[in-house]
Amino acid sequence: MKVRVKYLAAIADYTGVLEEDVEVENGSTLKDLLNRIREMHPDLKKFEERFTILVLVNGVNRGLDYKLGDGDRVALLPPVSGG
Amino acid sequence: MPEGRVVDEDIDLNKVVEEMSRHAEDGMGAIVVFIGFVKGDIEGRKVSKLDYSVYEPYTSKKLDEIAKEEMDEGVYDIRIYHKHGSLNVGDKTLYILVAAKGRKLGFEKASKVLERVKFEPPIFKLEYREDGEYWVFGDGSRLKRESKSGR
Repeated sequence: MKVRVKYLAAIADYTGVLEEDVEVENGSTLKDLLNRIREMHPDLKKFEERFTILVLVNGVNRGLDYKLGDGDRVALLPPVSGG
Repeated sequence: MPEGRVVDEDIDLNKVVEEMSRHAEDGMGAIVVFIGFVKGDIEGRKVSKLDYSVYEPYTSKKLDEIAKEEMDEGVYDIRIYHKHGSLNVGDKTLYILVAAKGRKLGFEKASKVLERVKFEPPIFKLEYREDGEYWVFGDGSRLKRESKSGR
C-alpha cells in the first residue's frame, strides 16, 4: 500500500524532498514506515541525533504501533516555534 | 467569541478591540494586547528576515483550541492571530488579545497563552542572519541550515 508522507520545515533539508509516496506492506505500523523512511533518507539520522521528530497521521499524534491504512497522510515535524 | 487562526496579513486591531470591548457591560475591565515582531538583532548578529511555515489546517486548529481552552472565570474573550510566510524586520508576527475582568488576570492569561503558542501549534521558523540561515525552535535553540535541497 501507499502512504503519502510530508516532511516539514527543517526535516525537508535532510530528506531532500517536501512530500512523497512511500510504499509499505499491508498491515505496516508507523514504526515500519519510519524505518523505511530512514532507509530511504539516511541523512535524517543526523537530525534525529539532536532533535525529536513528531509524527502525525491525518493530523493526529499516533503511537509507533498504529496500523497504517492505504492513503493515510503522514507528516514528520521538527520541534515547533511559534511566536 | 474566542478564536485562534493563521492569518496572511496584519489584522485590523481597532476592529478586534471594538468587538471585544462589548464585554464591558458584563464586567470586563481590561483588554491586554501582545504583539510579536521580527527583531533585527539576534545574539549580536543582524537578521534580515524570518520565514514562518505552518501545517494547515492543523496550525489554525491548535491555535483555536488554545484560545477556547484558556477561557476561564473572569476571562471574557481570547484572540490569537499568527502570521505566516516571509516577514521582514519590524513586521508583526503574532497577536494575542485577552479581555479580562482586570489587568492582573489579563496579563497572566496572555502570558500563558503566549507560552502555549510557542510550543504547541505546528509553526516553524527559519531565521536569515548575516552568518547563515538557522532553524529556530520553541526553547530558543537553533540549528544552522546545512542544505537547501527540497525547499
